[in-house]
Amino acid sequence: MASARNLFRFTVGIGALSVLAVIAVGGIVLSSLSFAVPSFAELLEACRRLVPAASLADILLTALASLGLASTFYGVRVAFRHHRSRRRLLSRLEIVGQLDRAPYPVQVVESPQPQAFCFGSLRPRIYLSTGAVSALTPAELDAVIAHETHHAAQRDPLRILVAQALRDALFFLPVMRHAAERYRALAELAADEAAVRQTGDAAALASAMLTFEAQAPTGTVGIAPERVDHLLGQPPRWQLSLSLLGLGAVTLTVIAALSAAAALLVPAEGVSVVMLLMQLCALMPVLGGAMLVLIVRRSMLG
Amino acid sequence: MDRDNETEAPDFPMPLHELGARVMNEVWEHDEVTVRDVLAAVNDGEDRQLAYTTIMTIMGRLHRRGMLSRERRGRTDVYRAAFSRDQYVGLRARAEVEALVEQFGDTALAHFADQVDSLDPERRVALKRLADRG
Repeated sequence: MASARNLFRFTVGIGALSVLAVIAVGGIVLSSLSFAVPSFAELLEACRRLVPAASLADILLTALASLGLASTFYGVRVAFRHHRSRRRLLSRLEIVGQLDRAPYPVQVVESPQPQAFCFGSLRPRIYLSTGAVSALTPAELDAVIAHETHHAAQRDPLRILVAQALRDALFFLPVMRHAAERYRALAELAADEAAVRQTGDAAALASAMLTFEAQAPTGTVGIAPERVDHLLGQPPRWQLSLSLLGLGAVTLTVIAALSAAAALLVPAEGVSVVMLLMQLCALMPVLGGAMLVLIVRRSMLG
Repeated sequence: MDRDNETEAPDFPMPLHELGARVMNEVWEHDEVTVRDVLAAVNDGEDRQLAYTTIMTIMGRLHRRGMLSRERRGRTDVYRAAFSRDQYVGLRARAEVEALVEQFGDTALAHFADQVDSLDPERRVALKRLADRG
C-alpha cells in the first residue's frame, strides 16, 4: 500500500531536513567557538561576577549548542535503549521450534498467551507463541503469518526504529511524534491488506483478530479500531495534524533565523568556550538553590 | 500527610505478597473489617502469633496504596476493600502487561495485537461478520 510507505518517506524527508538544520546549527556553533584559554585573572573575574555578563552572541550560541547536544543525545539514546531492550527480549524468548515458511522461517516461542510479532532491524524474524499456534486454526495462522511476513519484507522494525530516532532527536518538532505513531498504525493496515491479499479474503484475518482478542486477559492486548474499519473498506489516512506541521515549519524557521543571527553576531575572534563555561560559575548559587529546593521537595513527598 | 499520590503509581494495583494477601483475603471475605478482626482471623490456630501493630502497619500501607478505604467510626477505623477480588485480578493482569510494554516499549517490533484496549462491541460484531463470511 502506498500510503504507509509514502508517510514513511515523508517522515524521513522532514526528518532529514531537520537533522541537516541541526547539523548546520552545530557547524555554526563549532566555528564560532574559540578554544583559546583566557588568562587566569579573566577567569576569576568572570566567576566572581554574580550576574553573568553574557552577550547576545553568547546566549544564542549556548542555546543553539544545547539544542544540538540534546538532539544528538536523544537520537543516540533511542539506539542505546533499543539495543538494551532487544537483548532483554531475546534472553526472555524461549524458542521451542520453527515453522518452515518461505521466505521467512517462523520461530515458535514458549508462551501461553497468543503472540505474534516481527522483530530484528537488519534481519527481521517472525515469532509466534505456542499459545498462538495452538489457538489459531490453520487458515488464521496463514493470515497472521502473512501479516507478519509483510512487516518483515518491509523491514518495519527498522523503519519503526528510524521513526523513533527521528521523533526523539527532533523533540522540538511535535509533528515527528505524531508521524512516528501514524507510521506504526498505517504499517499495521498495510500488513493487514497483505494478509487479505495472500489468503484471498478478510475472513481468516478477521477471525484471527477475534481469537487474539478473546485469548488475551481482558483489557491487555487487542486490535486497533482503525484496523477493523480498514478491513470494512475505509481507506487509510495519514491524519497528520496540519497545525502541528505548521508549528514545525515555524520552529525550523526560528531555528534557522537564530543560527543566522548567531553567525552574524559572533565577534571575529570567536566566543571563548572557557569563558562561556565560566558564566555558569556565576550561576552556581542559583543552580545550587534550585537543586536544594528539589531535594527538599522530594524528601517531603517521600 | 496522607500519601494519596501513591495510588497513581505506575504499578497499580500493587502486587500482593504473603501477609498482604492474607489480610486482603480477610477483607474480601467480609464486607468491612477492623484491624482487630483481621488480627483475630490471621492468628486463628497459628503457632506464630502476629502483633496488633504488624497488622495495623500492613493495613495502613494497603490503605495508602489504594487497596483499602478507611472510615473512622468512634474510636476505631473500619476498612473496606477498594475493589472486589475479581476486579483486582483483572486490574493486576493489565498492570503486568503494561509493565511488560514499558519494559520492552523501546524495542522496535511490529506486534500483531498490541493495542492495550479492547474493541468496542460494534466493531467486534463487524469483525465477527467478516470472519463468518469465509
